[in-house]
Amino acid sequence: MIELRNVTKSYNGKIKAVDNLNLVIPNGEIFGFLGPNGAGKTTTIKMITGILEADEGSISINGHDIRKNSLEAKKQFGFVPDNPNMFLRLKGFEYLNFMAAIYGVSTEQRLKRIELMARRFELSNALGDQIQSYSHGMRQKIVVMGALIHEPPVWMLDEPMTGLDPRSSYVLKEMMREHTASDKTVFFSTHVLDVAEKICDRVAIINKGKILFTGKLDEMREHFKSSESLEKIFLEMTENE
Amino acid sequence: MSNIVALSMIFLKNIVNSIYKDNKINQRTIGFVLLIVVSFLPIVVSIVRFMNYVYDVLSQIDQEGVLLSIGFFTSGLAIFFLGLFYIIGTFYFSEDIETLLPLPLRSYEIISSKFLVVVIYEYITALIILAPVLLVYGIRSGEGIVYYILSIITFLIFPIIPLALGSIIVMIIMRFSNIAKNKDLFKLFGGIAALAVGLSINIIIQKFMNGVLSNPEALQRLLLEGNNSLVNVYSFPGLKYLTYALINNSTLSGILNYVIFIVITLAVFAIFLFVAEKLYFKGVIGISEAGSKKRMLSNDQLAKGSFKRSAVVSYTLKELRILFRTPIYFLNCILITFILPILLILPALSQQDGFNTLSNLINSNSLGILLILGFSFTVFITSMNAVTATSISREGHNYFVSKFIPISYMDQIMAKVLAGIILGIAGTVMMLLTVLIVFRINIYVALLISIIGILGVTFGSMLGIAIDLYNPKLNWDSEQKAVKQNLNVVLHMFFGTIFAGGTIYLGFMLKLDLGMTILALILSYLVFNILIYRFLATKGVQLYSQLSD
Repeated sequence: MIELRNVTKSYNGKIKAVDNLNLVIPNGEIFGFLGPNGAGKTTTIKMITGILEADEGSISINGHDIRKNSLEAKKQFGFVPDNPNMFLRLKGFEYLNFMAAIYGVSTEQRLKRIELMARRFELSNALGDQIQSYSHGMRQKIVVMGALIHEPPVWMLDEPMTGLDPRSSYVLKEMMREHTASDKTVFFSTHVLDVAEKICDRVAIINKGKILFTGKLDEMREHFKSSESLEKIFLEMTENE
Repeated sequence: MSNIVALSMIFLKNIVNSIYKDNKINQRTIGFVLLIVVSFLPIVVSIVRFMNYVYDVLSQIDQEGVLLSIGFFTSGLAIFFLGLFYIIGTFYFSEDIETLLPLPLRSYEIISSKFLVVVIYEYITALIILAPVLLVYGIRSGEGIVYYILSIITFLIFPIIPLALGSIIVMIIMRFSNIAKNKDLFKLFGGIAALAVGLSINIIIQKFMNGVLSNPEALQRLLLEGNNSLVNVYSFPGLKYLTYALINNSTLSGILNYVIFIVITLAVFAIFLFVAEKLYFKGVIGISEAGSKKRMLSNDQLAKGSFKRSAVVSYTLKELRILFRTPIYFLNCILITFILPILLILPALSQQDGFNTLSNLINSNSLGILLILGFSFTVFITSMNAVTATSISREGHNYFVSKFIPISYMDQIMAKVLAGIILGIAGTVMMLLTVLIVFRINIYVALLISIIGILGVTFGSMLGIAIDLYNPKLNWDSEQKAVKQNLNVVLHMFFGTIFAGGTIYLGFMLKLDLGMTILALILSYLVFNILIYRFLATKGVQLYSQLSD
């Protein structure tokens, strides 16, 4: 469960990137965070994961406050950043083992999970190569594997589908569903509306730092009394802001 | 031509922008620059004093022009040698290459703008050596306006010849090291080979000069001729004409010589462009490709790699792996650790006198002094290798990873320090082996140095990260900028040298016996270590938590 209460963040003390944000994402839910470029999605995710500090408000993950009890809070989630170009000089399995060590995963568990995920993502024969030699999609996959190696209760994914081939993105979506089926949480940002439409239990739409809507997609359609496509609603909502 | 101007503007803008943060001039950076300027001032002052003295001596035998030729020669060698690092980094290891290659640009357009950037960097070197020489000579011999105009032009175009020569060597070597499959490894070997060639040329020139200077008859003849005849001894392409021109700046033949110098400069630059057009693209295309084996790992290999270690050890291991595998880090952080002891001793070894002096210094003093020298070296080497002084900077835009992983900031800092300690110990061992073999020093003292030296290495390593935490350079687009164009490295060297030098100074002042020396070193550096550790645990952690690009 992720809770954000009255979270505000401004850059240079002027422009509010995130303005008085309130969100509760309960267990067992795939939550989509939608918004146009520069809406405040990544800033919000950075605050939830402890990369940025909120100016005001509080954020907790499974009851652990990210500021007051940061290490415990950080153990609760696995994070996939929007740019997978990390640790390029490490070999795939070195990276996975690094992440496993950081999160204290036992040798036995590591081997099992690495093997399983590598098979699902078809990355088995690349684990011995440096990440530098990977394509964009392969890098994305290894970062996803690294984030999930400790089987975190909360998944935080920033634009996770970017660069994934249809098969891998199908696998990831499948894994998200399995994860929430065992009463855990997935929080992911995207600007691809199709993806959100297909797998999200609930979404929030953010623009210029403010939440415009939170709820199920059906509710959104009802709210706008429209049978139009999600794309159209989204465009209308974010246009006149 | 307009392409060259546009490219150069972009490259220079990148440098200028690095002192801005959130559209404001980054005050810390300015502070650092000032600090460095202030710390270099004493060096410049002593260079000026020394030159003044040399001028006095030389003018008595009517050879004061030699001051200029020595100055030009030394600046030329310094620019040539330091330039090699910049050239390798800027021409080949810079990440903008991938963006530039698809643009409709000719090799010479890319390379001339990159060359210009290197020239501008080398003005800093020129400012320390060349500028004082020109000024001292000008003031002392009461030169007129023509001299100063020529001096300004000289200052601006002087780096071209040594840098063009360096670039040609680098381009030839990189052209051939790019054929290999394992790019990283061969980039590395290419880099090392270029440095080796550069270093050898340096040594050959020095040997040759020693040859000329130690031939008494020839020297006497030149000396007796007076009238600045000695200026011909120091030579580098174009240098003779430049010196002659500046000495005789009021005559027509002086001006003519200056024109010859300019023509030579242009010719060397033209040759450089020609070589660039032929070789540069062939050497640089595909340089960032990485080899892959696409092989399934055996269960054994996987199990071996999945051995459970503590988070801190894994973090240190990651740091070391990246240092060893990134060519530019390897050259600047690892290689220097292993070659510095040899580099320091090499010049002395090439001359019998030098060897004797050094051997005397090391062996004839008390064992206490020997311990002090060895111990100070451990502080010195950890401050020279840029491992901890760039350990935060090297994270670059990926600094955010350290924020979301569940290891405390202090553990991360100490994991980085540990990597510095490991390499510092490696450097200490290298140095001890070298002096054990070359000077046959007392083996017990060598053992003592390696044990007590751990305190020195630890202190040096923590000092580096403390400096880097204050003003880390996270906003870089090529790894080279993280380690080469990073003021923290210079500051670390400076403070490390002060501590090492201070320790040696006190050692010679107090002349303690071995037992007292051991006690004094352990106590003082234990206190230093505790102080800096406490600093890291409080202020350091706070700075770490505030990291942002």
